Amino acid sequence: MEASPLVPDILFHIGFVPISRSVVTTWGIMALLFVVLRVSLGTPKVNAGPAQAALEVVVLAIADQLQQVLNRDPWPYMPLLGSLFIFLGLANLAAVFPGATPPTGHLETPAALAAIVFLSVHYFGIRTRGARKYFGHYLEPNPFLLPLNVLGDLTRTFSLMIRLFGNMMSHEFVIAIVVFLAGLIVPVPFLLLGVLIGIIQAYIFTILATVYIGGAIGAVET
Amino acid sequence: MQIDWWTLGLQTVNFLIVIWLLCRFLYRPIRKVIADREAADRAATEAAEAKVRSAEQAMQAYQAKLDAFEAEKQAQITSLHETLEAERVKRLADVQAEAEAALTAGRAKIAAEKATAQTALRADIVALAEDLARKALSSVGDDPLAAAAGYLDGVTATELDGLKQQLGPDAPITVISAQEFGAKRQAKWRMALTTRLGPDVPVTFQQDPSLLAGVELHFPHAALRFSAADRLHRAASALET
Repeated sequence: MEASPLVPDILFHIGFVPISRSVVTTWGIMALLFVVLRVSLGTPKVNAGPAQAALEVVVLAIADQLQQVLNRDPWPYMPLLGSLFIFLGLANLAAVFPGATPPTGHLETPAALAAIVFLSVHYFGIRTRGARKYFGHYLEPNPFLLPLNVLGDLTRTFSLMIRLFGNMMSHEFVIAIVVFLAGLIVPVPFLLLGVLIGIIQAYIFTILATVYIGGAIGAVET
Repeated sequence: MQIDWWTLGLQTVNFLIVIWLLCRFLYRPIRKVIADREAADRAATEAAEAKVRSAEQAMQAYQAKLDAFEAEKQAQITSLHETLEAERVKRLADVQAEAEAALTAGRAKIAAEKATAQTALRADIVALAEDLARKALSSVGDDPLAAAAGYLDGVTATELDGLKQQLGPDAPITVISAQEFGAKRQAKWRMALTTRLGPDVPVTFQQDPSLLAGVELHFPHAALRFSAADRLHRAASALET
């Protein structure tokens, strides 16, 4: 574990590009995803096996949740929102693997995800409602509220980033402190609590992103 | 707090790659499987509906055949009833014709037998009548006076006295004949009777064609009959017994 989560943990360099532990963990997650998906869904069958059925359950549960929030077909939003939940869930749970730290416990990963959500909100809003109508909502209910609306968009994206980062970082801190003070056995309940926190934070991040996109496309009042 | 912009950029790219990875290896296969499953379900549903329609069509065809069979059965039953009724009427007519013919033949036979019997009976009657007439006329004889005198001569004295006592001035003996007697024959009869019954016997004469032939002597309380009618009456009584 690095000395501080607020400082980038550079493991090595590729050329002049520094490679941090978060990036390496993310690559590990990507590799794990690739292997699991190739093995489970290499030849998808109508009569699903256990692994395919489990993946179908996860994907359909996410799609159902998105549909309940968006009140429309969730599949156009699944690539972003479903991937957000799956990636965040795996990234937050990376703490249970020895030698790995959650990429979301460092500021860059939540910032990257929040930036992608920020841009996606505008992308889906413009694609669904048109640029004029979409940007017109910044003038509502009063044009004088334009600065506040813009500031609201920025701050909610910032809060999205900070919420995830803060929770995961604090959890890392708590684990580090408990390990430092009580040894190896006592932190186990905190690790289990970390699993719960990781899933909850992935859910919150995804649902908030869904609500933001829903507001942009006119499906949700924000 | 320090942000590593290289890490930020790499994580952005990494997440985009994750999106592609999940789209390529997770969402697309699962959507395809779901679509295939729904297509299979639709196909199964359509096949089931087709089978249901086929079954309904088969049922309708079966029902139509049943209806046709029922109609044919009813038609055959009706035809059979009509045939039986026609046969019954025909047989009844035949039987009635046969009965009528038998009755006519019987009546003709009876009539023929009756005619034959009547002819035979008529012949018998003629023969019987000839026999009766022969007997009646033969017993009367040609002379009734001789027959009456012979009878009176043959009776006993007691019987003769009984006859005499019936007679008186107001009780004559009456001689009834089929033909009217002339004075000469009346004198012969009076002579014969007074000779046998006494000289004072009053004698009267009457004619009765119903006696056919012969004479009857009527006393006040007795009668001696020597007529053909009496003989015929006795012969008929004998035949009845």
